Amino acid sequence: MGKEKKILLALKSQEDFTEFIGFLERAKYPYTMATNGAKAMELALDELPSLVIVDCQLPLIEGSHLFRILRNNPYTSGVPFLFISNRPLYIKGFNVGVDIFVTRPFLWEELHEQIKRSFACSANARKMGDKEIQGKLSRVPLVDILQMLHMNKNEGELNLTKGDLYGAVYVKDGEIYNAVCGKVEREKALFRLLTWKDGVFEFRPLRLGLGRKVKARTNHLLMEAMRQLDELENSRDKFPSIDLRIGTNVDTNALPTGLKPVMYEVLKLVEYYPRVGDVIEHCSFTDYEVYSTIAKLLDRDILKELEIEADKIIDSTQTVTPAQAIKIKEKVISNWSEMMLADYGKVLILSSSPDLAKTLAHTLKFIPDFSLNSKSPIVSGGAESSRVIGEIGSIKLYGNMEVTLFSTPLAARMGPFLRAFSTNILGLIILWDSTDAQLLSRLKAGKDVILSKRRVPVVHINLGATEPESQVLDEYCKGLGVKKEENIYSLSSSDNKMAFEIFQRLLLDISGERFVTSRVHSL
Amino acid sequence: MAQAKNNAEKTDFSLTADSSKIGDARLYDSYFINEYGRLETLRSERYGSSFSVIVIHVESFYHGKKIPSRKGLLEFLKILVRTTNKVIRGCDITGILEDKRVILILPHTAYFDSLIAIRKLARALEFCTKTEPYATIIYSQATYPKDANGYGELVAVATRRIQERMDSLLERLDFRGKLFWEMAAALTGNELEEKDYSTFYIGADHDLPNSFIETLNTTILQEVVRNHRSRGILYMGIKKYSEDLPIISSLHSINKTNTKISIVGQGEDKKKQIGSATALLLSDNRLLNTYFTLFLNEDTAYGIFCNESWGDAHSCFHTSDPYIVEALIEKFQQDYSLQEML
Repeated sequence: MGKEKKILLALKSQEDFTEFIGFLERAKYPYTMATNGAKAMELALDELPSLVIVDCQLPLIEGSHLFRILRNNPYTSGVPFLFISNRPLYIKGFNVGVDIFVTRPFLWEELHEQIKRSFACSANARKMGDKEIQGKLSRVPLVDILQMLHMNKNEGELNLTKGDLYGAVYVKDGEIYNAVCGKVEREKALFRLLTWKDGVFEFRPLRLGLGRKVKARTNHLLMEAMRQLDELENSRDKFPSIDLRIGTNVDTNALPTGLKPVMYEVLKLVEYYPRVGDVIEHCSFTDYEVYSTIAKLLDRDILKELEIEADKIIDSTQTVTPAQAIKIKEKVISNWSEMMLADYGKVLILSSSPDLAKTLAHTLKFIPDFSLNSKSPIVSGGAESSRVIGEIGSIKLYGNMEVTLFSTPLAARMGPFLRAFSTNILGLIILWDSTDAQLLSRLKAGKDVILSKRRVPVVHINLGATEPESQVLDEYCKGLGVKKEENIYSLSSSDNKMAFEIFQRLLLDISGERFVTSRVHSL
Repeated sequence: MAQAKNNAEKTDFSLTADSSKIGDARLYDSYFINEYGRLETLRSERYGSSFSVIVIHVESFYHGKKIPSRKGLLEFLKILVRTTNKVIRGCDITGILEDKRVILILPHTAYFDSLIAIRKLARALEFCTKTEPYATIIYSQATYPKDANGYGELVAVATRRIQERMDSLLERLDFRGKLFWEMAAALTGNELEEKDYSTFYIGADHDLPNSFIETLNTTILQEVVRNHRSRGILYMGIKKYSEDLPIISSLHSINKTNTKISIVGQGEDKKKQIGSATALLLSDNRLLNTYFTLFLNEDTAYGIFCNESWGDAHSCFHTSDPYIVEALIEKFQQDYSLQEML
């Protein structure tokens, strides 16, 4: 029995490690070790432990904070904790019977008994708890469960898990109010969940406080879902592959009226996401509707296949590793007034010429997990796009944590604006394409204001057709007061791979894993 | 004889060690208040709650013309402490920080609540500033754990903010007795450029177009939505209220947020709900000439006024100074008899 239970040891001192390792080896429990809270969080998220033994005075993230973070995460909320401290402490959210608190010195035999009891309690909680129905999707298909909940007019949350994937369907008076599957929700999420043939489900009766996001009646919705899933399965050969790159042959700003809403959305999205898979992911319509629309538009030559040079395709599937993402999150937490509010940090963009921010945004759209803010006037390119401010896109790290790209104006006397909007700043990107003295002085003033609030990694990107000459570069460095640790890159607007590498390096600098000391003029 | 009297005065005035000279049973000396502050920090850490300190600093008498003498200060502090203790809650603690400074520890009080407490105190002590001895009183605050991790650090932050507040335009332009529109006129009418505030121009041939205001408001709303769990307050003056304005459609799409959003426009006096925001229609023609936005939350402050100066050109003032933004919000609420809230 002991062999199945992997224990995460998050302790401060080497002595504690020696003692606990001896104890765990005697009791035949496998274990992993972390010497600080951040590492412990990373390990817990990486592989779900059966128990976390944590020292309350853990470095980086304290034991009680680690407990709060993991308990609030649905993935780790069921993991019992064993706290070790020199004195009694109040731990918010402590679950008597499941969690254990011991003060030094302690008896190993007694500790072993308590751990066994904790395992039994948490297993019972998982077995019984407040769940009314639970089981495997391989035995009872989701559609049957939803019909049963509909017939019984149930209210509550149906949670579904399939490997690392998580989904939920919210039901009130038997009607489906909303569904969530990863980052998507509503009908699209529900239709995806209905394709799950294995995995587990559990229904928790509870009073729902949310508004209805799925408008169709449950019976009609389920029938439509089954029709679309059948069609999707039958037409899979006719639909384009998710890795196909596509572009538009028409001006999306001058589309005729009266088209289906899904067409407008698909055509607009293709401008930002050339990969079919990304369009499907970001479109609010169901997968079948999007696939069939793309196929129709390709047939009618409204969309075209794009040929991208092999060396410009980003082959990596993630921009930052989980460890770096955790470190960035720690930075964000330390900048905010309240830990639980911290779910995004900003990378500010100062650009010397109006359209540079837009060009950069479109170059970054190929980065994995990067989403362009299609509502931003900078991205959509309205009449005044050249002089606007705001969020142009964001990159998802993990959980709800995001790093957003925030463009700022380069007008004179913008100091108060920059100060007010750089509260949770993580990094600064300066875009330039000329060394006009007035522009340089404004860029310098903006940079100084931002860095006076907080010292963050800075990258300078020359967005031009050709690399700047060394004389121009020197002029720029002098004008901007470029420091040794600030990198300067030269980027062409079509070089997505290079943009990815620059962004990846900036995130690395932000995470503090590698603070750059050498200046790179071009990669 | 005079020498003896002076010595007596000096020895009599060691308030930090012996607060009993003030003669108020609820006033504690600096030793007790320090110990209490440390305990409050531990308590807040344990229960995951926040608490605030407020420092009341007596800067001068007779509108800054007279530095308080020890005896005069002692008499004044007696009145100040008595009035303060009438205003504060039963759980709040008053103590002596330094000879010219009284400190209040407010348990379970977050940033915005401490600002409200300062408003109450300032109102209760207003008579000392408008009648003899015409005192200049500066209030500052700091909140645990937002501003500091320990009690000593918290007091240091609050003390530092006394100077920040004295350096702020709020004190320098003596906005205390001014009305909202008087403050707005003073701010947009001067050429200002310092760390936290500056004037600039939009529209016509200036750096920024007229649409800057609209984009700015949309950006602030995006910040509010992203930061929906953070407490804050936002007033957006949009000249004439109209349902067709893009900002109104943006407001309709905002879900629940902890920021109190109000759209202010000229119209017949009435309140209207737009999603989670409130539209305040006020019958005041001054609203027709000025765009303004006042945004204050736990992490940031931003205020902007844009006065129509000539056709499409606007002269603007903007600031990231939380003292001015908070004062403008307070004056706006008072002048239009709105519910005082933060």
